Amino acid sequence: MLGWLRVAWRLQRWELGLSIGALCVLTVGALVTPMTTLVGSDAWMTLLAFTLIVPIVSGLALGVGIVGREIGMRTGHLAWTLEPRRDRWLLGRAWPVVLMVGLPCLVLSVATARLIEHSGPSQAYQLAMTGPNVAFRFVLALAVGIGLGAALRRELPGLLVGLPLMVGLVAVIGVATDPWLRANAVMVPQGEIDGRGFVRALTFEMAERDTAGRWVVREPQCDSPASCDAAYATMTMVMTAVPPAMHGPYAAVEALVALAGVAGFGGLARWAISRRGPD
Amino acid sequence: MAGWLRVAWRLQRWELAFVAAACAGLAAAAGLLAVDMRSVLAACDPAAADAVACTSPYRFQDSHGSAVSLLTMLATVLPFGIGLVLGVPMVAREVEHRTAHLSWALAGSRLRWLAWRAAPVAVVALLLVSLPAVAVDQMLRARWANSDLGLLEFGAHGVPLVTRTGLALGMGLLIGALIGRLLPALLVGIGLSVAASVGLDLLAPLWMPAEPLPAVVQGDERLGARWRYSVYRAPDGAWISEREARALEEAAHVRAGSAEPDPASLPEEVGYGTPSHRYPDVVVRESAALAVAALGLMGAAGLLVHRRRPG
Repeated sequence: MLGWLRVAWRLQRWELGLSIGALCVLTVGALVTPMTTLVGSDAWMTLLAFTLIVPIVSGLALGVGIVGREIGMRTGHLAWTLEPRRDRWLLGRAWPVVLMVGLPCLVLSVATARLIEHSGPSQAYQLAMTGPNVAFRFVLALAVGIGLGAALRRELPGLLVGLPLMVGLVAVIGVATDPWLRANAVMVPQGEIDGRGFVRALTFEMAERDTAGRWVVREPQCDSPASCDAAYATMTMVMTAVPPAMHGPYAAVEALVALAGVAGFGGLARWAISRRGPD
Repeated sequence: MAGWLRVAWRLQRWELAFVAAACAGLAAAAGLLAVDMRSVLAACDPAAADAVACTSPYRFQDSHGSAVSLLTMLATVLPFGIGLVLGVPMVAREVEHRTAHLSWALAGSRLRWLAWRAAPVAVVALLLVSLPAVAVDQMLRARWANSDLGLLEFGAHGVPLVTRTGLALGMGLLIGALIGRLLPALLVGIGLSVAASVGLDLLAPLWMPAEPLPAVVQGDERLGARWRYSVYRAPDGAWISEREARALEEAAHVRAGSAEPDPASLPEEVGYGTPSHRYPDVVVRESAALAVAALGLMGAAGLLVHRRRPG
């Protein structure tokens, strides 16, 4: 167990060090930024953007190196013969990386959750920046990197193919989950919004309550400034937003996607290394 | 030269193919958008009722705005992507795969090896990036057809895109030679690219000296200018702070009541920055600075290659 951790560190200390360092810097930034800058400033947005980008780049860079480097450097035959089975070697090489970078990802997600809580509910993609989703995205990128590194047998091509592939996967996850999130959105009067727990405001509209007490969106009917003032006075600005109760189900979706990625790309890597000759 | 081109292709065919595909894709997308926007403008009838909307600088805000913004953003990061993808592996891969001792010995001189190895790749990269540089320029000129583009989206189109690629190549070459391992050098390079991008913004005043900007008569007149700061002059001609100017403005509005205040009683805002017609000067200055920086980085890479152990 400790042996695999040591091997992972010795073989990929640069990549691991840079990834963990970048995640630590982001975590410190996410903790300090709310105290030093205004809500929604450039610093906030940059930090949140990097929370999306860094786990993906780290996962790919670490992933393509695990098998791609062994094949590219022609050390695979030695590494694989030292273990009874090649897939056991693959597992032994991958889990320490998941552990060493996945934990800082989780810490970062706690810090960014605080950042998002302060920044209010109107920023998109916030679900992917908070909770275990940050770590799930890292695991998905790692699996994609391992699979591509094994299939293409070289690090840089694996990385070059992996980056657009991951961007596409992230976009597909966003597009695919959007209708489901919208269907589960609730209407909240603006006065009751404190940003806590609400993510992804979908719309801001004028509404009023019907006889059953439900919010109904209506266009204020008026034809003069005075009548418009009167019409607006009877209505309330409401926000349609994804409620906190959806955090769990969304995280489950991200976990399923990561699991599918691990199964698919891990299977690709397993297939690629099991059929390779000892060159 | 042909021999070295062949060597570059054989050693970096994946990277060159990726860069070529990225440049061609971006150029094609930007070119298509430019043609589409120009066809919309060409169909505009100056005598029609919506002629004003046709000539508005925000004509394509809703229809093409998002696509133009996305391509412009991609064009901004393209030079750094090309620089890292092509520059980093040149030395790093030879050192990492322990083939440096052989290739350096075969070339006779390490510096000659580096020059012949880097020159064909640099020429190909600069030629390739010229495609999106021209296409994105045309796209932005179509997007802001009725305005002076000037310094708007500076660095994402035209000559600056090419010079930035040269700088990024030098940076990639140096990082690869310094670290000697491909993936770590790429990760460090990504971080340094962000720093370089911020640094270019911070250093911009060196090649964009501030001067008084023309007064804003219409909304789009300062579009292509790079505004930096404003100073304020009271109605009596004295220079005042922004806070004092706001107080004077508020007092003038209170005095005027519901009517418009007398313009002579309002403070004057004088914007300082780089006007759009300075674009050619700015390009020449920035290109000279970046060329010197790129040559310096490549020289430093050469020094490292000259001195480092090949394994």
